[in-house]
Amino acid sequence: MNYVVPATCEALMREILRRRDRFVWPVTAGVLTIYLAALITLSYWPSAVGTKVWGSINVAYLIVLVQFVLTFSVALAYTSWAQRRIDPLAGEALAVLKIANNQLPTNVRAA
Amino acid sequence: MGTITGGQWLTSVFFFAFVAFSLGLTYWSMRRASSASGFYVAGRRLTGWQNGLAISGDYMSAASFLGIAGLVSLFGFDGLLYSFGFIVGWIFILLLIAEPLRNAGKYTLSDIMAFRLRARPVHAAAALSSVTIGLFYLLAQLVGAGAIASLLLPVGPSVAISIVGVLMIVYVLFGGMVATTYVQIVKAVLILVATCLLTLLVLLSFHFNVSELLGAAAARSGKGDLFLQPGLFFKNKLDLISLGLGLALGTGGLPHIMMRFYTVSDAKNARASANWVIGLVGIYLVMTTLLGFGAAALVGKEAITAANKAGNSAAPLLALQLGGGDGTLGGEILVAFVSAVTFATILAVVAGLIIAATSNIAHDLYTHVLRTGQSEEKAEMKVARIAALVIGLTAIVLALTAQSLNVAFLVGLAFAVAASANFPVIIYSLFWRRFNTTGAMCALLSGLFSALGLVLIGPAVIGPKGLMLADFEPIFPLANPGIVSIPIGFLAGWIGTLASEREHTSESRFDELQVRALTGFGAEPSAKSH
Repeated sequence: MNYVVPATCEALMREILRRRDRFVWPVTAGVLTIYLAALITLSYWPSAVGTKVWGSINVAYLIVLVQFVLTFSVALAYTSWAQRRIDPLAGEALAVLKIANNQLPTNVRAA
Repeated sequence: MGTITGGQWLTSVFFFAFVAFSLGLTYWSMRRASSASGFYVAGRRLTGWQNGLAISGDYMSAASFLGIAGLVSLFGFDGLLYSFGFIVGWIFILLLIAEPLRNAGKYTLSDIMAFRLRARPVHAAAALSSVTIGLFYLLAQLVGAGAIASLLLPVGPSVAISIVGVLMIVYVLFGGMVATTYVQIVKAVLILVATCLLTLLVLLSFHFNVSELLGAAAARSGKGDLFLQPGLFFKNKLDLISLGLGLALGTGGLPHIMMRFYTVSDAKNARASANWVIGLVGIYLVMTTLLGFGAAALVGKEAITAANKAGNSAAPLLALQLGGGDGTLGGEILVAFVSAVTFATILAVVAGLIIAATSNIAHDLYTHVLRTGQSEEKAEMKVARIAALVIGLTAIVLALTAQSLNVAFLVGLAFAVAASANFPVIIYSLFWRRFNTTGAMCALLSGLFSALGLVLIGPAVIGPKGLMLADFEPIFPLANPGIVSIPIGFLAGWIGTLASEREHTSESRFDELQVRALTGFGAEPSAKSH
């Protein structure tokens, strides 16, 4: 590394990673599981999901609707979680890094 | 030729108005697109909602607007399966990829891999899979443009492919990502307006009662309740799951979508773009399925298949019906507007595809593989412009040659390659410290070739429904390879890494990647002015 990462920054990063691990991976796994369950249900039980719930609306249609609602709510939940639990820490870590390297950094090292 | 002929001149007027406007945008963008960051990523100056609209525009392609509505109108519920696979995939992008990608990458998807792995082999392999994805996607769009043109415009398919092809090259050569993005945004707004308007008119016909709409669609389909259940289109259960996996995991590996995250100023705007996409595309997909049911109920299967066997004319025919019917002014204006918007859609999508493929060739292959990262920006830009021209012309020639074939499967194949080759390597690069160059090469190459190979021996190519050997049974029974090739990609990356020695640079650069991905320290800045 050609720049300094102070201990306070490392501690902040550890905390960010700890919080991310507890939120992001379980939610990702949950979404993938529900999606696969929906696909398997729809393909292997086509007549069961044809059961009508309300007028012509059947279970199959509701499963699709749930996927959309789930996607919207996960996106909203993640965004508000990240704003509360991650962004302040990330901002602090960035400030610490900038001060430690006494700069307004431009390009540290081109990828 | 279908029944939509009366309004074709009006369609042409609308279409040329859009072309004139977009060429104006291109002229206006020329100066901003002259630098590398201007050309590839619009100077990283877009805001979250602008980029979100542009990405949504990439999704609101002719394939989704005409394709999903058509599929729903003919096969009922099965058409919906496409729609929710697309949207679920965005959760993975939002939660795992968008923010670190913006912070740690530069121009292409492979930058994120090359940040910590050995640049030359990884750039080369990732460029190979990315250009493959781009070409398949491009070919499907261009051939689609030809087919739709003969339906909606007073020109033949070859002329339409050539017009669309030349325009896409012009946008990219002169306006780069700046022009492409603004064309994409304008088009996204137009297609949203068209979709909202048509949906509103459909719902109005059914007293805003979705149950009544579905009931009427089922009744007119002749299939009754089966029309509202899965199984009319997908005959093979595993094939359906395989397609679903490819759609959901493939988006995160699509080069032309992912490179758009570099066009915003920082990680928070990358997150905002993903949220905009989820909101806009989600609503749009729900509306296109309603249009499909509307077409099934109001236009009817006979009229739809009479115009086009694949159902591509369902949305335009519905517009004609809703506007007042054949020969009425309202009907013709509405159908002309919808048709012109469909064309605008194809134009904007193919331009974005060309930019992505160009960046893979000029940035990944030329600068990082041939020149080992040592090229001047001016030289790279020259290569980029030549590459854009060559890729564009190649795609036009291929599309003209393949225009009589059914190439719709190419989009599915592009998603499968993206999900099997690019996606595993991005996930490993971002989250697995032990990951190394050998693992990346194994994943990229086996993901790419297993997806391609399985399609080659599958029903899309061999057998009665395929391109050749109609008398044979396909060796691989599924049209969609994802369910096999995605695990192959992930496993190959994992085994390749563990079977080879630890790569110390990769692991120490991973720590650096994390600092940059989580804090944005050292991330590429946006252009100061233009």
